[in-house]
Amino acid sequence: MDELLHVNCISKTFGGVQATKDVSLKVADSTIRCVVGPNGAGKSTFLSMLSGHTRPDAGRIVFRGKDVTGWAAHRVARFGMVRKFQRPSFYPDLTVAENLTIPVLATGLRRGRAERAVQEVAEQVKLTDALQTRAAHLPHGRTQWLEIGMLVARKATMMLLDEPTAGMTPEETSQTSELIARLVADNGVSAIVIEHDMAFVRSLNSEVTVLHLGQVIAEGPMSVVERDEQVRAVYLGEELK
Amino acid sequence: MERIISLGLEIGSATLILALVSMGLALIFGLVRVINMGHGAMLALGAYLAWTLTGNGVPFPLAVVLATVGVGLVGLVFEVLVIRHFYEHPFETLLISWGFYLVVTELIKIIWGSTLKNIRNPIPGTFSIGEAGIGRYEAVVCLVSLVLLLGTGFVLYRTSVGLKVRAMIQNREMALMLGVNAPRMYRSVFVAGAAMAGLAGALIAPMFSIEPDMGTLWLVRSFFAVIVGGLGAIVGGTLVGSALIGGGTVLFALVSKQVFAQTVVFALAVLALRFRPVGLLGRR
Amino acid sequence: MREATISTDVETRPPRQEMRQRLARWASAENLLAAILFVVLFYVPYLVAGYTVYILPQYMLFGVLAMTLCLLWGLGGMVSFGQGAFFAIGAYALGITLQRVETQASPWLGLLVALALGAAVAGVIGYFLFSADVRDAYFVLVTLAISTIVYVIANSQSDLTGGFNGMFIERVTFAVPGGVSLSMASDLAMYYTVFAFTLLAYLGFRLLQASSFGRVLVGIRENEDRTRALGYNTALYKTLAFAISGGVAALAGALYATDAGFVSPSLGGVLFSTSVVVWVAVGGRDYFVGGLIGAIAISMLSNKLNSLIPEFWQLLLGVLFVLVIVFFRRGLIGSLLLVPQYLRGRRG
Repeated sequence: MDELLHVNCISKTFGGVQATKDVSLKVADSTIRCVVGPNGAGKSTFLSMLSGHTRPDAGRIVFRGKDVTGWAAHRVARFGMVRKFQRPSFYPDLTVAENLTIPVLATGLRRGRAERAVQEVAEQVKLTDALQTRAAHLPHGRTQWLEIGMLVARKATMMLLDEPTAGMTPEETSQTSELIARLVADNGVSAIVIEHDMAFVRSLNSEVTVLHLGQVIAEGPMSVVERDEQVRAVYLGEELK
Repeated sequence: MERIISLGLEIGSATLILALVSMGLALIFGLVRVINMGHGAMLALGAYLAWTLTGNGVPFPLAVVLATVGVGLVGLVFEVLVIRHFYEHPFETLLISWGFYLVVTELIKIIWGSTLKNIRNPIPGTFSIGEAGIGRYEAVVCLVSLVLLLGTGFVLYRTSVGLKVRAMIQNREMALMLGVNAPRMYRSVFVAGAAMAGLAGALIAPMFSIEPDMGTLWLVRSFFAVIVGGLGAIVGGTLVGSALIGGGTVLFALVSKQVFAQTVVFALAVLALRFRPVGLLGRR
Repeated sequence: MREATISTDVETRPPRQEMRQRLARWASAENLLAAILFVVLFYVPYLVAGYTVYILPQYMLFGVLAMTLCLLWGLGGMVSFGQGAFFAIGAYALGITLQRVETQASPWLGLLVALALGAAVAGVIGYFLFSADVRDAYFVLVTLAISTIVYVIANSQSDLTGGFNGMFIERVTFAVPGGVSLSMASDLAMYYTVFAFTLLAYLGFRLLQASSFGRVLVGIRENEDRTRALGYNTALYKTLAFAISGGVAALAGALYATDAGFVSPSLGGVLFSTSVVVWVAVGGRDYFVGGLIGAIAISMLSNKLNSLIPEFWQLLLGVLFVLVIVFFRRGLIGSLLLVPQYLRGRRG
């Protein structure tokens, strides 16, 4: 039970369609876990159940030793498992500093200490030069980093990243890979990353869980998973390179 | 037995009259997702136009038609000048349409004065079923309401225009991609909604006293009827919502004063909305 | 919050720069305007006598009412067409308390009842709605309904509220144990009591704005889903904001009751509540001083022009309202306060 997160056989059906079936997963401290799969594999639904935005029909989610199954989203987030949505979701009309201050305030810091915390996070996500810029004016890649920064500012112990490199240039993607790896190593946090970009997944050098039609069909390091027969069949026609 | 018929007639009448008043709001709200706070003012304007026209010897039916067209035109001007720039900002549109209400109401006060006005009942007499009866004119208005509901339903569900409107309501992006001309549709819908408000105002003018603020209470009632009935369910929702709000008020008025009945119905509606925010027939 | 970024390292920023920056923040256009306003308001009784001193407290209380809407709408993004209803609840609360409880402490009790009632009603309704994530148009409708319902209750419960004819309330006397008492019968005493209340309310709201509660509220306004997903119980925050607004509005209403001497059901109706929205929209919802000035200025102008050109003034106000929404989203004062920033070229 020293796993940070233990997902036990969760399932979810939406009006006749089984989006998730008996998915189990274990993630330790300071670990990255990638979740991949073709469109419709149920990755976002899975993440939604972890973050509390969707209630599983069956199964248990144990996080930091507590059963958080069915907890409301804000409660799960407060407990340390925070989600970065697939679509952009930050505060476009506020400055970067303000964007980061709001999650920092949730950790109980005030005034000077809060400002310093914002500073530190900005350094970690390379946004110190943009602290007074309106978030809407940032290029897309940096807004993704801002969102990740918000999770870090919140002192999340488990970051749920839904397609963090969507819409990024290859340059930005490799920087994001470094960023996530560094955050995990420096802050001792864990991350579950949903992704489509296989090069990115490979660069993270982590365990990979492959979902297909709501079920886990393979699990292990990338090198093992990409040789799996079933995985190849599912990704038929897609380049795994 | 007669009491039941009488009650039934009252409920039916209240429902249909509220539905008549609410149709315009439902149309605009359903498509543009915005509360047209000016709806009440358009209603009043329709009433006043009808009053002036009938006062100058224009036969009532023609006066109603002209009033409808008049208010529709006012709505068109307002849409072209102001509203069409703000469809992306439902918040601002709510406020702006409220501003429209203020301006129009004041203009009415300036042009027509604040004293109560009346239009003589164009079809006096009652239809009777035993002891129960309904005013002839009232019955005609209910009929018009029914025709309007059916007509709108027909246009929405049996014509290609209506199909496009419904497509826009259900899924805006898709509809745009499929080539629906949004600005033109929005304009048509807004003008149609305004015209309906004017029509309703002209028609109910002989039944209630005409005063500049007459639209305010109708606005709140229509607002409730539309939301309780359901977002986007333009015909069915309006009918159901009107039945609940209008009919509900009649029922409660049996056991308490009219104003109190209204309040109770509003409070119940608020409770209902909390548990089902999309309304009875709405979908989200 | 927009400060010059001279050095990015907080620790090694030279102390004089730090002081200069803090001074710049304090001497912002907004604070300067507020300071000027309160200084002017303070000296009004020295400069003009009679009617102005009599009527201004009413407008200051309208200003406090407007500020409660600034909290809800400007900070929290929730338009309420029902703030007038809480104002009326407070006014009637004081009136009824004074009628039923005849002791020296009655005025204080009345104020307390007003505050508690306003906050409680707002809190209950707020929680009822926000816990189900009722927002936008639905919320507007409910606040409209609140106004309608309060009006109807005030109108119909004649034995309690005086019904359509309203309720007369005398100028109370506030007494403290120890024999000291202040009678509001004197216009001057009333004036400065209300002035103090308005100043306290303003400072209170500004502190709230700068606090973490205020910042989170802004976050909720900007992106409620994101804020919730960061661990904040947004329903609770919104309920709290609504309760504070309702309570303060009711308190202002109670003071208004003793000041104006007369309360009628129309105070709780839709038209008055929408006036509050107009004041805040025209003045500027993002700044408390904007709402304050909007309320006072429009009320003063209404008073003067209503006797001269009643319909035309209302028409002008309506047109002004539309123009402000269309062209000056941040309200007139709000736009004015942005000028220094604009000149400095710091528009983000």
